[in-house]
Amino acid sequence: MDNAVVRARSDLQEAVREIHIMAGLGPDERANEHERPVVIGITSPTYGDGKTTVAIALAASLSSDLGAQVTLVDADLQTHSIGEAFGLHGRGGLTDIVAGTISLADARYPVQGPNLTVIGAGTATLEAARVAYSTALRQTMSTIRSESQFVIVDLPATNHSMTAPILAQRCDGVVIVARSGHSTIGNIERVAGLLRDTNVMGVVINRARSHIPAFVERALNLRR
Amino acid sequence: MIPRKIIEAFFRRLWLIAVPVVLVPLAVFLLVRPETEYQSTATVWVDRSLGGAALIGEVSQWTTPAEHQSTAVNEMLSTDRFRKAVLTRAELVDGDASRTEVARVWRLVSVGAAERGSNLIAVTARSPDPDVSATLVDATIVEFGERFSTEVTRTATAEIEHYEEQLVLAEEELQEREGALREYIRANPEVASGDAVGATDLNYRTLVNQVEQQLSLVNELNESVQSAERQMASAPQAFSSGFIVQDPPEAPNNPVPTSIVERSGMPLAGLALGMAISMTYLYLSYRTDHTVRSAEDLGSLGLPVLGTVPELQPGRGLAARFPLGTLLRWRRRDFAWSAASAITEAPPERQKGGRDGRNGHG
Ligand SMILES: Nc1ncnc2c1ncn2[C@@H]1O[C@H](COP(=O)(O)OP(=O)(O)O)[C@@H](O)[C@H]1O
Ligand SMILES: [Mg+2]
Repeated sequence: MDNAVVRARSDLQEAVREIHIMAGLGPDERANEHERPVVIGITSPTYGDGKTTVAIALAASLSSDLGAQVTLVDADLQTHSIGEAFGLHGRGGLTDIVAGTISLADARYPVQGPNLTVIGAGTATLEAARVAYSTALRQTMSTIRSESQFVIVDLPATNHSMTAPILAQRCDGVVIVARSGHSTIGNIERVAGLLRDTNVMGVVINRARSHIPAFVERALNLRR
Repeated sequence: MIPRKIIEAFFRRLWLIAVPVVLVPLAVFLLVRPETEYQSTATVWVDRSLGGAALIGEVSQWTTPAEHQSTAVNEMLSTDRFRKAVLTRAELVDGDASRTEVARVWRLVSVGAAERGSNLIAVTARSPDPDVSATLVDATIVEFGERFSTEVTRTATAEIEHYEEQLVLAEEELQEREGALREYIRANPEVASGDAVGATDLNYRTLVNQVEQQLSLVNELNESVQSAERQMASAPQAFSSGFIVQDPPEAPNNPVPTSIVERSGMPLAGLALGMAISMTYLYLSYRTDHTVRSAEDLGSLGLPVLGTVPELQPGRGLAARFPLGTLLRWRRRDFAWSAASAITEAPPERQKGGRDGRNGHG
């Protein structure tokens, strides 16, 4: 792990901790455990917005910060990026479970001890929409849900694939990732519209860059 | 409150915004040089004796010769004919130049006279060329002298004509009266021979008187003609004795200094233009940017902002900037993924400390 990665990791971790708090994911004694969202879908208007990055960071920090049992599921059946990030190439995953070729336990790939396990997109070539609508997927999802404290689902890009809103309906809550300087307000509006039947928890602004010098920010009392 | 977005756009595009603000006034400064003008002056001693000329009008005892002469020169300079004569003499226009051509050239220069004392006037010319300035002063003085002579000659000629006409009549009358006297003497020879008779003959005395009177009139008229002729002949000398150039004009070495206000006027206008261009650009780029950049931009959607993940840079400082930063980011496309999955690989001691939020500074 080089210095740049260490630095970036700490920045990312801080940012994700803010999401924990804002989304009410922390271990709050007052909150009803059953009201807390367990299955959280991550989507965005288009590819490259940072869904996978945010999903990995969120899953990793929930497991390392809270010591929670977290399952990270790659439901972006087109890109398979979670599998790529963890080197799961050729391993069975979500589609294979839905197809019934492997069991859920076999598909789990442990990343960090027993705390964080990853389920890749899988190798079976199934129509994404059919997977999304299938009862097998519902069952799989509810099994995963019952086995973990948190399930983070890396969804497809909503403006490109209509399976995203369908899969999002299988989640307790959905987080929309907006890419700073790239996603337009119209994009986000459209995503929110397509996710009307789901519980949209909020927006995470990714790749934010500020060119405003700190003293100007202070002087003008600007909000971040 | 100023939207964060417009301030962000300002600092993000600072270099681009600075370009017109710097380049436009610079271009104006380099291209629109203030016109350099050269001034040449002659000082002239003037006399009241010139004042009598019809050219100048009545001399009042309350005005100084300098006041009088400078007014005369300036009044002449305000006529197109005189301007053309001056420009022609200075070889700036042809003798057959049109009025508009004369007016066009005249606009490039400025000539005028001003009093410097009670008997001293300054004739000054400005033009973009030092030699032309001196030539213009010379031309003005010479042309003014010429005008003066012409005017004196014209007046004198009229006078001479008038007196000569009178003289002819007076001489005819004289001859008549002399004839009458001769007639009388022939009829009464005794009046001419003796003194006593001649002295007592009343008729004779009357005739002699009439002849003498007419003779003196003729003489007077003759004198007037001669004096007018003298005046006409001496007009150039009269001018040169009453209009003495003390300091002749010289071609100046240095241009007339222009004031800082005059020199900075155009570049300042350029600066204003450059700023207007920049501000228009900033405003347009702000109004056409509908992307999400901060929580502020999402206010209208009613969606809560759960967090802001910064741009994760594989390099810092210069290595985060264009073009090195762009290259580095492209080479490490999966950098954000590495950072995200690195959270799982947190070293054991950090993993425990993760709960207190001071994680990852190793
Ligand atoms: N916060 C960030 N800072 C820098 N690069 C990022 C950030 N988030 C994502 N990226 C980069 O953007 C690209 C796309 O990210 P990814 O998470 O795969 O988006 P998605 O899953 O929405 O297609 C990747 O190359 C990733 O490294
Ligand atoms: Mg992805």
